[in-house]
This record gives sequence, structure tokens and C-alpha cells, in this order.
Amino acid sequence: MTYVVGIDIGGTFTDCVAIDSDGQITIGKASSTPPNFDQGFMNAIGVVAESVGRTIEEFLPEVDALLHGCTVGTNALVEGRTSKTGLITTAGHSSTIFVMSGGGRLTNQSADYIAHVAAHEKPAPLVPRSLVREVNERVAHDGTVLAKLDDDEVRSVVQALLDQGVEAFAVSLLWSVSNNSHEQRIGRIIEEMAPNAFVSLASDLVSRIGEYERTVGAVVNSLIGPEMTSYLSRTRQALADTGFRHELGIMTCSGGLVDSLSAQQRPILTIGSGPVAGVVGSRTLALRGDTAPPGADRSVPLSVITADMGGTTLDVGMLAEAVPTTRSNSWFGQFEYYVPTIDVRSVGAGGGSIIRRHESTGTIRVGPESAGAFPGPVSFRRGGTRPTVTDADVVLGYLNPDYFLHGGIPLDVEAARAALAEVGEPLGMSADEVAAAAVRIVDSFMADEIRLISIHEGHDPRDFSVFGYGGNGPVHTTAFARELGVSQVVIPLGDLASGFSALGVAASDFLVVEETSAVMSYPFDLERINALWLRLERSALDRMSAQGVKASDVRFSRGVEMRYAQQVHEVYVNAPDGHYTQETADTLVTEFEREYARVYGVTSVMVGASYEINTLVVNARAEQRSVDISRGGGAKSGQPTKKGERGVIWYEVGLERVPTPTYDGNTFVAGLTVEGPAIVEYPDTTLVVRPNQSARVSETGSVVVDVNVEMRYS
Amino acid sequence: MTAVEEAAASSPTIESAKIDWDGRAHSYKPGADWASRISPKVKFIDPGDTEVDGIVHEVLRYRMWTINTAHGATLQRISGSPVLQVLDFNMTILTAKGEVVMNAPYYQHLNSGSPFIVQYILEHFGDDPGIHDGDVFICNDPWIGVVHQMDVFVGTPVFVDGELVAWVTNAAHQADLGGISPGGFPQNAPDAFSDPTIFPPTKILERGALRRDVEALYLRQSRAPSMVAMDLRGQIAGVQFARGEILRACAQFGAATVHATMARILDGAQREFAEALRAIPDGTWTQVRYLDESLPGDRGTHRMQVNFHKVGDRLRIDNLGTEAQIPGPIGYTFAGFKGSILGGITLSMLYEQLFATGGADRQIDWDVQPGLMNCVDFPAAVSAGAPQQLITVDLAFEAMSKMLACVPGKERDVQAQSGAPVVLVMYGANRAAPILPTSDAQGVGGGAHLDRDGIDTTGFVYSPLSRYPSTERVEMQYPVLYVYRQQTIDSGGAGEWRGGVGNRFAMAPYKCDTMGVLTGATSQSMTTNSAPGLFGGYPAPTSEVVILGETDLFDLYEAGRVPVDPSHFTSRSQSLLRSKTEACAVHEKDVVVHRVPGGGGVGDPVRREAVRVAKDVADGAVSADVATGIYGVVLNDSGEVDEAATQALRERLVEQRKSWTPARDLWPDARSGARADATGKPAVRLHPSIQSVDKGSERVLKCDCGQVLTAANDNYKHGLLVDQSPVTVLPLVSDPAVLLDEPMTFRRYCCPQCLVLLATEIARVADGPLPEVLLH
Repeated sequence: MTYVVGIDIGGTFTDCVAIDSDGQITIGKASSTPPNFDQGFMNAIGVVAESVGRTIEEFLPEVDALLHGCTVGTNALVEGRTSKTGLITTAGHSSTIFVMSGGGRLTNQSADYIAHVAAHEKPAPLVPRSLVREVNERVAHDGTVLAKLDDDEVRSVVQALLDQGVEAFAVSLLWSVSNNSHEQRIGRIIEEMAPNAFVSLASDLVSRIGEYERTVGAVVNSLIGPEMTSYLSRTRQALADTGFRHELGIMTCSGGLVDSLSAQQRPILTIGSGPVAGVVGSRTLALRGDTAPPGADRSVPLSVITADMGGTTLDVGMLAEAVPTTRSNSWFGQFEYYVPTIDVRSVGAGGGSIIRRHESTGTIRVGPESAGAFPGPVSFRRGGTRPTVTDADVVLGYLNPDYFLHGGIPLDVEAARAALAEVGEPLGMSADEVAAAAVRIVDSFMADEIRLISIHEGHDPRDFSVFGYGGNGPVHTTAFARELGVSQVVIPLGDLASGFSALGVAASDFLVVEETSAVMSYPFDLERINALWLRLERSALDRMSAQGVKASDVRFSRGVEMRYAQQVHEVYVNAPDGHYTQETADTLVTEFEREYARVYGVTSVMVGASYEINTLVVNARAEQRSVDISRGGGAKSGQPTKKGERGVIWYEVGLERVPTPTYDGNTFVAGLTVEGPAIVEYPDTTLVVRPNQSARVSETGSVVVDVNVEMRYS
Repeated sequence: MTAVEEAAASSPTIESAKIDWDGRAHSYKPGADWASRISPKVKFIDPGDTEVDGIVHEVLRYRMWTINTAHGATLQRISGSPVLQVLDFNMTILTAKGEVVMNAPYYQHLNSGSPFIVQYILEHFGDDPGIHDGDVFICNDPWIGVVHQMDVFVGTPVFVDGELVAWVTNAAHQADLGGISPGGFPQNAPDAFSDPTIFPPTKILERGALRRDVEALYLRQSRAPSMVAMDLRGQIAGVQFARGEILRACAQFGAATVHATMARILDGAQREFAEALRAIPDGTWTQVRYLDESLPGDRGTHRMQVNFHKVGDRLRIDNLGTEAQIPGPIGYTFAGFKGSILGGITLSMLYEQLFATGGADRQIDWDVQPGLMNCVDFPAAVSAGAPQQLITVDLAFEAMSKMLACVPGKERDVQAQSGAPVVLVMYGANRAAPILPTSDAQGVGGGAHLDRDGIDTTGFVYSPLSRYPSTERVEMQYPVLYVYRQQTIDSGGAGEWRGGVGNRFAMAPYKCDTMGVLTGATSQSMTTNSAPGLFGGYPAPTSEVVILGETDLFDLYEAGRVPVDPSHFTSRSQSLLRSKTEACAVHEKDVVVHRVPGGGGVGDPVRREAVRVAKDVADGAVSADVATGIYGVVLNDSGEVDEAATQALRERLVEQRKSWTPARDLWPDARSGARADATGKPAVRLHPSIQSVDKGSERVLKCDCGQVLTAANDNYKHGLLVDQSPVTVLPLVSDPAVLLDEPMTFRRYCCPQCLVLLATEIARVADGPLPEVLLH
């Protein structure tokens, strides 16, 4: 038997998924062990090995591929365990990283924060001013060198930074997207002078117009570079010591894998890879067909909204017919940077969102403040004193206080109830009433946010299924999907829903994304386009070969970002392969107009306007294995065996507690059905099937819930 | 008290009934009985006694925020225009009778006239042309409800079963709508007939169908019809989207519930605003700003004043003390006045309500005198006067800060004014668009707070999300080079808490022979200061636009050198641009140098922690000269604080204040000996260092050091020592006499006993100490 193993390290748990050559899945979970995450990593593999009756030393040699999603870089950033980094930039433009696009930095902040202008702050700069150095040089937008770089000046700047003790360098110059020779030259000089220093050249990471976002990317990459190098070296060593002989694949936010050496050079690609892995896992399932709505053609890929709800955020992704939405930028707090990523948006709602009273309007409000994992909900008894959504969930009866995380955290219901009662008391509301109100409000908030995200993408959420996972996803998705008008919720792989990202990691391919800025107007310069395609594909292939991927395994796909002249919206158009002629160029234009009309509406199409290309993108993907997921246990029909019963408050029907059956999710096999109201308890999450909803177990062990949109709360 | 102060403190309510606020000669201002003139053909929803659930309230409150945000996204998406990408718009949900339930988080003053337009339509259009389901109205008449002609209103009623439930509206900036100058900021327009074309409320969609004749009439006025056409479609699609979403909410919760929830949101916001007002002591806060240059070449400066009378839980706002309107684009209409001030109040006090301004508006009496610069009558030029509204948002925000500084627990909401920007537009034949409105003004610095510095290059207070565009984006689209683009040293007002710094740039035409430059400054941002200081903090220095003629830029480049300061260029000429420049040519090798201001400081600069000053110097926010001269901080060669030298210098700087003149000696009418009787009431704070207290049989204003300053009903500045210096003592500020005939002075006031700086101001030499606060 051989295995593909996916491991996803989160802030709290490290999840491990092993898929054997028959498609059977085994899962294991261990506590994460910050800051030495490699211990938790090995522990989680140990848990899986034990489940298949092996020691870790026996198990690892049977592993074909060890694929890994890690938050080491993210954690280093959040906790400030970063390397001392010097930034070298164009003379006259060193303020860029401090200006932070002015108010543009607030773009992804919460409504409440944006509205409170006097409370705004800029975060501490990523690099202190004393470590930002300018060099005399200037390239124009067309690549013309206006002022030449002076090697001697570069040397003195590098020396000055070394004297200040920097361990890592970021180099980001104006218009390096049009001509990167100056950045390359500085890179070579640093290598000469400090061969061990970690270096990020902005144009190497992403070749996209916008010096601020490029600079932040290069800086972030360098800040976490040395930490990532050290972590991956330790992990490789630990694996080698236990007999693992294959290469370690690392998950990226682009939705694919790179080898661990590439991950060391571009650790920025790992930031956000956890939530992205969930989207990739959803893609695998959306193509599988077993969760298609009744009567639908199973061969048509499912359109999915992913809702990964944890303690502090709800992470939302969209897949139209199983194709994930992508974007070119990402955020670290208020810092925006370029990176080719699957689009996952964080909404400030989770189990830790704090429930409070709004005095003057006499209403209950939820969030945006979060108690996170520490101090956490009141019921965790970790020092939290303000009630959170999880406290409301346990008071309403959704959560089993004795079986939260395998019973790992006994929930103190009375403490939660008292904290909720205290919030409600001045309003004449009981703990139950506050809990019901808060959950209703947060469910509706999440529905609104998802709706907003789909509107931005030009999608109607009613055409989608919602995949609910993460610790709190299955608790709330069945309610907010109904608010959204979505008819079907899927709890992917049932018991794996809380560690779904690990499956996404295991289901990923090797992927390299190469982009280049290429501004041109219609009629396009075909010679230039053809040259650029060749260059991008060669460069992608080089990166693939460097990871040991055979050239014959590599599949390219092309994309072009286009817009109307004098307009600003860029649209990503899938571009044909092969050599480009005028005919191909016209195909691009047709595709552009079709996509523009889809995203922005038919009335937005500008008849007679000219077209511009901004960016060319090449995706190189190597499908080295196909993972077919299935679950053992055979198929049955009828209802599963009840585990117990408890009184649950269903806010859509009233505040009376309704006797509600509970089930053990681990006993679910394909074909079983459950009528709501029902609570399905898994070791790591809880599926809440609301009144008048019904659930069935699909072939992959996923639970498909008919949401019953008619029952929408009003 | 001076005559003006007296007028401000006791100004009688202006008798509005005598003025015909008809939207023609004067601005439209709906009278108390406006609703009685609505045609019976317009059916309103009867909410009966629908009870609103607190939870539905919360759900819908957030839903409406989402609708507004998505409305903004829809408008942007459909239009795709570069003009709207800087979020130069706002959207509003109103009740059936035109009260604002919620604004979107974009330019806060921009759509605040929409209640007037909605009420005008209701008052006049019910019978003819009728108000029907699916109708969409357009309007850019500043005398009815837009802030200037370029910010066009589009709105639609929301009907359920033939009954009016709500209105949804937006206003968005247009590329061009005619008039004597491309882009709609004609600096040399003597009156409205030179401004962009005015459209009173007009139906552009009739029961859902676009009226091609009206669209053609509208587009025909523009120099950029295709761009305006896309923006119009975006605006229409935006309100149609928002209407659909309100209808969706009505289908889910019932129209009566939605309507009743809106009423409850308004009631809640009203109650909250009333409570906030009650916590503020009763008094009159007066804000004075000087506006330069009514028409290009005018060397005068013109006084604008806004008085906020806070009594109990109400606010009465008047404009007495403002000079009469004059030819040229220097003022704005009542819609601009109310919109700007309500915008400032919203940002300062209504953030918890997510900008639900209608409730607050119920607590405010707008007691304005028409014919003054901040409430001009037809046909004044107003389009290019719009930037003066930005300063009005700021002054309202600052007035609220002064009030909130008196309220325990509200200190964190206090903020000095942010830098007032200059509108700088460049024209030229180029690759993409005919006009480059430089968005560098989005790099203004923020005003300081009571407990922390202002934010460097933070962007506009009145449009929090405005994005400072990247150098590469601009250079890709326009034939220019940003030679440098940096944060500006010393551009934030000094203070115990420093104003945030602004940015500066040098821009040169690149592969382009000639460009044109237009400037439109706000207030005195080109001559004396760009933001006042607060509570003893220093004002933020001026903006500046200079054209360096025939520079050696490309020779410097050739030699491998990048100039990063104006002094690095050799040029044949230097032209300082005025507050209003209609068109100034820029040729190849010329360089436009621009400085964008920082924010005002808070508190006495010599009380700033010395280590913070050292960090400011290391970070390039403050020069060593200013550190020494204004902050009194001496740094050693390695940039660390020389404690002993600093202490000695600071003592000397403070000691010098003893030689300042008692304000009473300078302004004889301040010696009239005002006296207030003791009230027996507890102390009331009106300044972070000054309280109103009983002392024996009198009520007096007392510095926290114990020094009695004045009678409680007097301007506290009368009890202080004052120094009057030329404004050039402020860093970066040049002699305003180059541009102004009016002599201006920079005044610093300190307590005669503790010598702490308590106030600063820049005023006409001829004006006495500016009124600030008079407690009732």
C-alpha cells in the first residue's frame, strides 16, 4: 500500500490526511506546537500511522508524497518573529512603503473600523525607516533607463545595511516590471558581499504594475525567509531521520504545490495557503459529482461557495463550475501585496466574535471584536469574560458541552449563560433570548458579507452550493445559506470538515504561476506577445524542473488581463495556446467582451472602444497523480442510530426548546438520511440540521443538506 | 467681547419665513410645511403600529450598510471610469419622505443634499410629471441639492404595491459637463453661467425605461460624452441595484417592517446624538476660516464663519460673521453648507451608527443667512468653489472635537484638522485621457489627537477609503514622470502630539511637449496654513505649487543622479502658482513641484516627549532646526536627546513667553470687564486645560494650574499672554504678502502663570482674537 499524505498546520491543530492507493482516507490530528511546528507535524503523522497500524518509521517509507500546508510564515509575521530586513529602493521613492496607499490601506477593514475615522491608526511599518535605503537609478514605464545604477553606490548601501545587522534584503525599484536589470544587478552585488543573506527581488516574485504592492511583497518575503528556511530544513531532517526519501511538497496560496526549496525562496507563497487548500479540496469534491443536487447532471462541475468558519474569521472562496476565483493581491493586516492567489476573503465573524449590548438603541450587537482562541469564549474557562458566538451556540443547544473537540475542552454552559444574561439584563432579555438574537444576527451578517463578495465577482449566490467546514462552519452554514437563498449545503467528507484543508493539500498538484506586465493597445504586437509567452513558459518550466518535475508532465495554461482603453476594470481572459496570429488576437477580444459582460453586465460593454492588454499569465501545472477520494463502510439506506436527545432552541420557530435527536457523525455511511431538526456530532465539529431541512450522506461521506430556502427567517 | 463674538453668542434665530427658499434665487430649504404640498397621488406606506424586533433592526441595519457598499461597487463596476475609481461618490438610503437612513462610507458631504432633492421632487412632481415605480431622477442643481454641478445626483423611489417605502440615491463626480473650462473647475468663472450646465431634477427613466431624449440632452453638454455616458449607466445601475435589494428585504421582512425599522434606526441615531449632545456643556463654538482669491489674481482674503450653538440636546448652526458673496467661485450653496457640516458631524460623532445622519439632522436647526459666501444665491459661480466645502467638513469635524474634548470618555474622538488640499489638475495630449486630476492630495497628513500623533499621509478624513495611487499606475496612464514622491519633513503641525506629515512630489512631462496645470486651493492652504493647530498645537504649514522652468532634470539623470528635492534642480525660472490658477503651461524639461500638507498639531510642542522628537528627526518627519526651534529638543551627533541641553533650552523657550503681551492690553474691548455670577454648579471643562468654575461670587474660567483667566462668559484668550509673529515663523511657510494684500499674523497664547501654550491661531492682523468657545 502506498499513501499520499497531506498535512495542514493551523494555529491550534495540525491535521493529517493520508489517502491510500484505493482512495481510502485516514485522518489524524495533533496539537500544533508553536514555535517549533515540526514537532506537531511529526506527531500528526504518527497519529495516522497508528490508525493504519504502523509505526511512523514503518509508515513513512510507504508514503509517495508528503504534501504540506504550513502557517510558519504567517505566524512569524503575526508574532513579529521576523528577520531584520533592509529595503533598497529607487531614490526619491522610499516613502512608498510608509504611505501605504493612503486610505487604500483600509480597503479590507471592517465597516465599524472604517467608519470610526478618529480611531484610525497606521500599523508600525514592516521595515523601520533606518533600514530603508535609496539608490540613484531610474527606469521609465517603457523600460528606458533614464538614470543608470552605480555599482559603487550600491556597494556602500549594502555595506551600510550589513553594518546595521540586517539578515535579509528586499530590493524593489520603480518599473522593474519593464526592466529588471537594476534589481538583478543589486541582487548580484548582495550575493557577492553577503552570500548567506536572504534576498528578495520584487520583480522576481511578481511582475505587476504597482510599486507599493510589489515592495510589500518583497519585504514580507524577506521578513519570513530565514524562519521558513530554518523550519523546512529541520522538518526535512526529521523526515530523513525517520526514513522518508521523497521530496516534501509545500502548499501555496496559488492553489498548488512547490517543492520545499522553492518554498524557502518564496515563502510569501505559503501565506494564506491553509484557507486556499480548503478551496482546492472543495474543487476536488465539486468535480466528484456525488454532492450534486438531486436530479442534476453529475458530470457538470458544481459551483461552490466555501465557508471556512473558525474562531475569528469566516474565510470565503468561490468556485464557478469548480474553477476557483483567483486574484493578484493579498493582505497582511493593512498591508497589501501582490501574489497570485486563489481568492479567499476573510469576514470578521467566528466562534470568538463578541456579543455585546448597544446601549442607546437597546439592541444586541455581535463583533467585530473577537475573543479569538485566547481568552476565548467564556465557556472555555480560559479567562474570557465577554460572551461569544460559541457561548451562544452552546446555550442554544447546538454544541454538546461534553463533546467539544473530542471532549478536549469541556464547555462551561452555566458560565456562558451567566455572561449572556448579563448582556441582556438591562434590555429585559434572558440568556436564551440574547443567544438566539446574537446567532441570528451573526448568521445574517455572514449571509450579507457572502452576498457582497459574490456581487463583486458578478455571481448570484443562488446558483451555488455552500461547502461549510472549519470548526464552526457546519454549525452555522445551514442557517446563513438559507439567508443567502442557497438551496444546498455540503459538509465535505463529514468528519473531515474541520480539517478539510489537509485534504486540499493532499489533492493538490505542483503549480507554478509566472506573470509579466505587458501593456499594449489593440492591434496587439503579436511578435511581442509570442516572445513573452515563450519567455514565461520557459521560466515556468525552469522552476518546475528545478523541483524535479519532468518537462513531459507539465501542462501550461495561459491567461491575459485585459481592459477597455480609458476604463479601469481588468478582466482575466483564458487565452489560447500556440503561436498567436491576428485571428488569435481577435479571439482574445471576443472572449474579453464576453467575460466583461458576464462580470460587469451587458450594458457595460463599450461598443467601439479600444482594448488594452496589461498582464500575461502562465500557469504551469504537473498532475503527477490523480487522487480519487472514497470512503469505506459500504452503503446503507434509512436513518442512522440516534446517540441521544437534547433541547435545542431554533430561532426560526421560537424560543421554546425543541427535543432534538443527536447523532454520532462517525457512524454515518453513504445513503443514510436525517430529517431536521437534528444535531450531528463529530469529534471536531458539529453539524446543525435545522427544522424542515434534511440531510443525506453521499458516496464520499459528505453530508448534503437540503436547506429549505422557504423557511428563511423573517 | 467683540461685536462678532456677541453676534455669534446671542445671534437671534434668523427668520426663515421671510426668505423664499425656493431653489431658484435662494437655495431650496424645505419649510416646516413642505410635506403638506405633496400630491395625494403619491401614496406612502402606512406602517400602522408595526412593532420592530431588535434583532430585525440589527439585521437590517447591517443589511443597509451592505446595500450601500454593494451599490458603490455596482456603480464602479458598470462605469469602469477612472474618475470613479478614486471613490469620488457616495450613496444614500432615505425614508419615503427623504430622511437619510444611512450613507455609504465614501465622500461624506457628496450626496448629503439628496434629502433636498427627494423632498423637492415630492413637493413639486407628484402631479406632473408624476412619481412612479421605476422612475429615476437626475439632478445637478446646487440650489436644490447637489454640492456642485460636477457631482451629479441620481435617485429612484422604492414602491411596494404602489406605496412609497424608501428612496435610494447616489451622487458621483463627472469627467466633464461643459462650462468654460474642461473638467468642471473653472477658476475664472464669474458666475453660474460660466460653470458646467445645470440640470434641475429631471426624470431620466420613466417607469423603468430610459428617456433617450433626456440622456442625449445631458450628454450633449459634455466634452467627454462617452465617459459621462458610462458613469450615468453606472449610477442608474447602482440605484436600480439598491432598489432591488430594498425590495428583497421587503419581500423577506415585509415592507411595513422595513419601513418601521428605518424609522427605528433614525430614532436610535437621533437619541444617541441627542445623548452625545447633552454630555457637552451648553455653549457656542465658533469656527473662522479665511478664503483666498475669489477669482484668479484677487489679492484679498475673505472671512467665513460657522457658529455652533449647543443648548441641551440640540444644535443650532448659523453662518453669521461670514462675508457677503462676491463674483468668482469661492462659495457654495446651502446644500454644500449643510452637507459639509453634517458630513463633519457624521465622521466625528455618528460612526457607531454607520453614518445614519437623518437622526442627527433632527436635532439640528439650520439657521442660515442666504447671500453669504457659505450660502450663496443664484447665479454665483459654485463649481470651482466646491473645494471650500472640504474645509467646511474639516471645520465641522474640528468643532465637534473641541466639544468632545470637554466630555470625559470621548477624548479618543478628538482630532485636529487634517491638511486642506489643493486641487491640482494637469491637462495634456497623451496616451489615455485628456485630464490628470492628480490624486496626490490623498496623501495629506492627519490631524493630531489628545493622546497620539496624527497619521502620516493618511488620506482624506471625509473619504476614508480614498486611495493614493501608485506612481507606476499614473506613469502608465499619463505622459509624466514622478521625479520624486516622498513624505515631507516638517509638514505636520508641531505639538505635544504632532500632526501627521503630508507628501510632496516633483512631476515632469515625459515624451510630451506641453501640458497645462490648474490649481484650486482651499482656504489659505497656499498662503498661511493648511490646518489650524488645536489647544496650543501649531498649524500645519502651507501647500505649495511651483513650476521650475527648463530644468536640468535629464542631464542629472544622464549623470546617474536622481533629484529628491527642489534644490537639486538647476532651473531657468521658478513660478509660484497662486491659489487659483486657471491654466499654466508646462513644457518639456519643466518640473512641477508640489507639497501636500500635513495635519494640525495638538498641545504645546515643548511638552512633547523629547524621545519622540528624536524619533521624528530620525524618521524624517521633523528637521533638526524645528526640533530645536519649536520643540526645544537638542540632539547629539548620534541623534539622541541631549537631556541637559534640552531641559535648559525648553526652560529658556518657556521663560521667553513671560515677555508676551497680555491679550487684554492688545485688544481694548477685551478689557471691558465682563463679569459672570457664580452658578453653584460643578466645574465644566471647555478646553483640556481650562474649566469654568465658581470662585466666590463669580463664575470664572480657570487654567488647571490655578490661574484665573477671565469671567466665565468671556473668550478665554482674553486672559492669556499673546505673541504675534509673522506666519513665516512656521516651517515651510513663505511670506504670504507675495500673494495677499491682507496682513496676516500667527498668534500664540499661553497661560500667564504656568506659561503653557493653550491656543494658536492665524488671523488677519485687523481681526481680534478669534472667537472659539463661549459657554452659556
